Amino acid sequence: MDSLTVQAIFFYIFAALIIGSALLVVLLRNIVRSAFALFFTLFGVAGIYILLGADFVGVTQVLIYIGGVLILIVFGVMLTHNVYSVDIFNKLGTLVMGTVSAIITFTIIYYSIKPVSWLYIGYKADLPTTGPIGTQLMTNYLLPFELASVLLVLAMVGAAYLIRSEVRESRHKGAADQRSKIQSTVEGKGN
Amino acid sequence: MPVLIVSLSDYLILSGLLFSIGVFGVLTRKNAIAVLMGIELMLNAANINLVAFAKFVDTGVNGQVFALFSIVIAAAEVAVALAIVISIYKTTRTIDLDKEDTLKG
Repeated sequence: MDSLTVQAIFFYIFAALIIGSALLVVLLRNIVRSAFALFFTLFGVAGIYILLGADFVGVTQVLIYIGGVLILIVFGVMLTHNVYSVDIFNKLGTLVMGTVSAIITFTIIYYSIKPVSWLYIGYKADLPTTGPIGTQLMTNYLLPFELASVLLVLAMVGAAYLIRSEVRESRHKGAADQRSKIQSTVEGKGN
Repeated sequence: MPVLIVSLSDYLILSGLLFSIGVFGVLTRKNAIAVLMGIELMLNAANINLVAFAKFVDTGVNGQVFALFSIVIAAAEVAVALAIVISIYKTTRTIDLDKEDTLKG
């Protein structure tokens, strides 16, 4: 068996893993189980990245998606989950409309991919990509790289601001009152 | 045994399937976090496209750099979206999207 066949076999294994677990993500009634199915989908996508010779992106996928995003989602489920009351699916009509929309989407994508003959660059050896990606990030993509860091800080501060607890404010209400009293006294003296 | 070759179209079709499943999830789920999971599936499908094009039609690693940026933005999006969902849950005690009609005129 040559290496291309082995590659194809792994592609189909990962594709089956991705599609199967993605279907479980959208079909399972229990949302905690959906979250665990999402783990396998993300893992399969990381496998596809490795198969495409993108080792750094694959490892980043495992670190950020599985280590970060999925943990966040599981926390979100645990913080808001109401296991017995929420019926997770919509009415039958919505289900039918969703299926039809998904099929139409896939049909459009399929028939726009099918007739195109891509301009292949030929065989490309799977070299380590970490070095070239680092070089690109520090030269051609320096501005987006810095903007991404600003965006992450903004997202972090925004998320913390959105879910901050109101209890802390009321606990310090007395202190805040005192502060404003002092301030008004100072301003009164100024006048 | 015939030689099996995986071409660019196969990766694109896999990504299209994943995207369609994500569309289905977003449209049919009632739970806000389940909708978020559907969005994650769609983002992953787009990333597969980027990396596949980087492998087959690009000489450098530009597609992979784009995929990295996409992953970073997805992480920020999930953090903010979950904060909003938890904030809504605190206010209305539900994350059922059919019942979130406070802003309805």
